Amino acid sequence: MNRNALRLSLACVATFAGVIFLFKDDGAGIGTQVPVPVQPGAGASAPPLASITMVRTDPPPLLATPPRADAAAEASNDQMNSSLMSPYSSDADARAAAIGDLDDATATPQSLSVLEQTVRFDEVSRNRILAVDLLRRLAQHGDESGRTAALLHLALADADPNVVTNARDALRAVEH
Amino acid sequence: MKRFLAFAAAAAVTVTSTAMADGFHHHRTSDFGVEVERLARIQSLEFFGVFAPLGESSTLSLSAAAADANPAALISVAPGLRVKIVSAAAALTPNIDQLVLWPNASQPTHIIACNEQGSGQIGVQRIDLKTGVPETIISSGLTSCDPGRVTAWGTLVVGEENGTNGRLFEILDPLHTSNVTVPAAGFGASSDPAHVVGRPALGQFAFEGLGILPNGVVYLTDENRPGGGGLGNPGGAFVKFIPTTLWTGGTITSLAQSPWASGSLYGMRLGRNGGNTDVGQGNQIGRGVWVEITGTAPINLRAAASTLKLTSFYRPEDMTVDPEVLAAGNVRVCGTNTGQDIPDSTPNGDNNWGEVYCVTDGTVAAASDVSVTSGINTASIPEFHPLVLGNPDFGMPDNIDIQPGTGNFLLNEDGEGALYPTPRNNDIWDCLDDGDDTDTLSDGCIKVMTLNDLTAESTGGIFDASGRHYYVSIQHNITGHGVILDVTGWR
Repeated sequence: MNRNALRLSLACVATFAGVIFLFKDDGAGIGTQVPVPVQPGAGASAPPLASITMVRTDPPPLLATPPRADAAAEASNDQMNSSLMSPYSSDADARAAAIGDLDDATATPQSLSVLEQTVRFDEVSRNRILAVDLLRRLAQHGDESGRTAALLHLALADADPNVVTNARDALRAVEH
Repeated sequence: MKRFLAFAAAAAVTVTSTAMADGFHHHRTSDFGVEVERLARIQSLEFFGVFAPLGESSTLSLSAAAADANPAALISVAPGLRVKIVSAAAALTPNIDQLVLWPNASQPTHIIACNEQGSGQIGVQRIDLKTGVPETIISSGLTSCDPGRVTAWGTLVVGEENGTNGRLFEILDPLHTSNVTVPAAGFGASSDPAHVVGRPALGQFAFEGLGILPNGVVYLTDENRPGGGGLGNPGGAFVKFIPTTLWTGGTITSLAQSPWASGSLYGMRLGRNGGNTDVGQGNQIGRGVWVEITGTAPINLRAAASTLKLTSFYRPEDMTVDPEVLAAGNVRVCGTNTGQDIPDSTPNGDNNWGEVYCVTDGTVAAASDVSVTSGINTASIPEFHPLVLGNPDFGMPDNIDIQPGTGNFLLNEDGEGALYPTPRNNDIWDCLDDGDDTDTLSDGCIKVMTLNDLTAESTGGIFDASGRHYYVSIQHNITGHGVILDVTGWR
């Protein structure tokens, strides 16, 4: 073997070693790209991510004392605590179902308390929309105390435009 | 010097090779998957019959006043499609799930609808397609009426999605049967037993998917989530009922003539290796066996599924028979396992977006045979494969129908988009079947409709025989009453 042939062999070995080094950590195979962590909803056609905690104005309280948890709310909490056995997909769905179970013809202090808690504090806007809609139906059956209308006015301050639109249309329906 | 030059040459070759390899590894200018999605969009007219797909899901949530003023606005559709209102009557029940075109899909005069409420509410209504006026067929007794189908022998079948209390009922002459009450539980007589009867021979679980063959063989799914009654318990099973006497044609004049009066039940258990012993968790795909389910009617099918180690899925929902495969004398039914699309921004987020699947079962003749050896029906072999896998934009598929003419699958999403950090509406997706490519998956999907009501879901979407009318219910929408729409304009 002459000296040039030896040098060429060494070059080939070096090249081969370089290629091996390049791919030595690529266990998934050639061409596999390093995955970038992406949260659900962050895809090209998915909704953008934002904090689920709402930034909302805090209107003055409607009740002299903070709303106490009534039977319906407690039932809802029970459902939350036993979510493993719950028929609902999520705690939010259980809260929505609890709203749906309220009588839509007669407002009671308990149901108004649930609705006020929902309008004020439920982080899922769908649930606040459901509460606003139930308030509309209750108000249309009569609102002597003015509390359902007051809660609808409260919803006008919501951070979600869908809730505001629903509250505004509800007030129009009630006031006409 | 010569030695130095040789080393430099070797290093140059190494660097060049490295650079080439690096280019191979990182210098792609496009994403192939994105390219496939782009192709589906730009060819949407050819493959999906719409001018363009929809992009983002709607984030709008109409008020009751706005929706009542224009119920068609409850849904936005892809360019080219149009929305007409079939009914938004105040008397239309609010939780309409599956829809049936009566007397058939070719010349329907009515839609018959299952209302998914409690036993004290109306269970089944018929809606005149010309006037939109609803009338009540079953006034009470049904809990969570969900599935509905026309049978080949001329009856209507409806079912309850009601755990192990779920029942199937057959209705004869539903246009002239009104205000019937059925028992809230069990199989006692209805108030009109000549026109409405329960079918204990088909067992009990949470009925949702019904894939009925013309001879009376029917595939059934249990809308059950895993873990019910205890950690590790199975989800919903896939069951087949074979009538004692197969239906051979014509229509019946008495419910006693129905092929569903008696028959035998079999459960799908995937895994054939090792003498059908590779079964259980870890095997949810491929070929399996039909395990005979024995007992006295009505059999608790959910309990049987657990005992017999049937393959289970995450909340199986609607199902449809592939008419093209059926016309060729074979069986293929496709359905949805809805999963659990709770966003991972919540503590119990699963990111299980569900799937669409298809099950083949050989020829109709083999699928209808009852050759049982050692508790296994050996006449046919069920084979399960996924068709569409869910994703964050397409979660929890529920109702399914195949569009006549195209063979495309229309899928109603029943997801939890309302719980997402930016709430989004449920959509309706249009998916191609699998083509001649190597895999067994759908060749592509596009979004063709999106709701404008965060409190609602679309349900029961069903085509007429022409494939040009797609009827769909906007269930539990903000108006408080039912809304059924007719989406046309398919090219």
